[in-house]
Amino acid sequence: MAREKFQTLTEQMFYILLCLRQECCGTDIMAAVQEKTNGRVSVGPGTLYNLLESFLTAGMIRETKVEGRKRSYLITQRGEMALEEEYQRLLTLTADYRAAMDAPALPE
Amino acid sequence: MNRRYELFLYPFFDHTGIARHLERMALKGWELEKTGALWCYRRVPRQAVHYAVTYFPSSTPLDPAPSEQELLFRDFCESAGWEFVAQAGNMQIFRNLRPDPVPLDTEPEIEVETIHAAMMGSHLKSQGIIAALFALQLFSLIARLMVDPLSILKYGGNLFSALASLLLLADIALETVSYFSWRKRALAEAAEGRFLPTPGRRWPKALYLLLIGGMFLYYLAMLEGKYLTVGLGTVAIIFSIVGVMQLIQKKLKQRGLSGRKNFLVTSILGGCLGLVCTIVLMGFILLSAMENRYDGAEAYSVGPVTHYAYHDELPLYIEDITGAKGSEYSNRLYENGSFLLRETQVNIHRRFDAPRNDSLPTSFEYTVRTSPFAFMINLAVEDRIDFYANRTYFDSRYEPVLPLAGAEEAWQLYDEDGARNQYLLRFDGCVMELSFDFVPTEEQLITAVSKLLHQ
Repeated sequence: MAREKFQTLTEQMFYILLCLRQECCGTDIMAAVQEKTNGRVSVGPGTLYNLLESFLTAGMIRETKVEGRKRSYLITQRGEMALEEEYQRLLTLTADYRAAMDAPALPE
Repeated sequence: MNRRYELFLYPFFDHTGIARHLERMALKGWELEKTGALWCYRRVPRQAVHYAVTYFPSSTPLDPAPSEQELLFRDFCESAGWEFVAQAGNMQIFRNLRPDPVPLDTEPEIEVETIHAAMMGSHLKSQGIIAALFALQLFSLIARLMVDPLSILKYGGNLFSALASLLLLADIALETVSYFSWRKRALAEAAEGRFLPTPGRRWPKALYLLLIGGMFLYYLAMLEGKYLTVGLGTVAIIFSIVGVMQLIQKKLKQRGLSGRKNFLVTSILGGCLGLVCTIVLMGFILLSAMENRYDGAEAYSVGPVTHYAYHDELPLYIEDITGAKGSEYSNRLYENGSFLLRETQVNIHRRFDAPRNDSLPTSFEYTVRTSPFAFMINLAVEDRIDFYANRTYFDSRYEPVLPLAGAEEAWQLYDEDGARNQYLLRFDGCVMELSFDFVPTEEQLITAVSKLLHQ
């Protein structure tokens, strides 16, 4: 079933928003995500462009600077909230996992 | 040879198929230079290059220059090593020389939605308009087919037009169904975080072009004389209109007109030009038919009146069945047909300057229709019987008679005065209609039929 837009964040959305807690230009985000995840997560330029457009439309980021074709972005309060909600969701997941693992195993 | 051209045969949405094809071409030493009606490649050293095809839904091929957004997108791509190569419509093609580049699209769901926006934005709309126009043409042919099937089936042009429309609709339907089927599966895969490659099939388009091309050449090969001129003229006009439109689009693009305005202007111009050319072509056909109606005829005068006599080569002459002198008659032959049915129509009339002799026939007309298909022979028989049955102003009709001259079935024309000297004879693969202005003997009928069957 299709996921409602930004109700949950994919890894790539999560790290792009995380990177944009500091003002960052589009082309630098790809490198920043790789660096932050030690190369585990890569964002392709097509995906990055489309996600930035969608984040802008949803008011989750804003444009801070335009120098020629170089545009910089920063996360907004709405974007921070989306990050926080995703963080809480991941915490719930890990807590549920921990609880399940710590519970005594059921007899077979 | 440093350039190579090929027809673009992939469906528009088939981004993985196109990218893999370009990679194979690069391994063979061909690099894509530009897109268009034909894709142009230039000779380069053989190398392993990564190609990626993506879509920029808001762009159109008529935009005078890439938009700021498009340039920004290309900058993103460039920073990841993806160099812009060419675009076709809102499809964009990139290549990357790095050994293991980050793909252009790393989120499957976004990729599927971008392709969908591009497909819905322009491609499917234009395909829909083309399909609607050809469906209308097909519908009008089918409507005529229901009322008067022979008038459609015996002309190669009508058949070609109907089959070409049907093939084009099938091609559009196949691509559309193939796209939505891929999209449905791709969305399911994307929900699991996986990419689904597109089908990568070229054969449906190749088969479609082969069939259309083959049919068209067959149709042209069936045309003769002025019909061939008109056929070739029509093709030349269509290509000229397309050429002129492309030139105008290019000029307007160079002048900086927006893509939308360019499309609007060239659509209106193209429509008007098409209409004017159609009117001119129809006028030319009519005028040429008027001017050439006595082509190949011998003009002769009787008193102040000029008459025309024809000397066409016939399968059966009047002298073959009577004692009349052939030189005293005008022999005219008309032929047309398709692969379903061939029709030969002959009018033999006594010349007005021939010595008066009431014992000799003044006219003899016959039509022979042949077909390898029994259903066409049935249709041809029904067509003639219905022709007289449906006439309200003449009370004449074909009535079955005992088979004559070896025919499987025979009919004779009757009116209020009784039997007329006109026969409809059905044979295996052939229908003949013979109209005499004298009472033919059985021997004359047998001779006529025998000559026409073995023509």
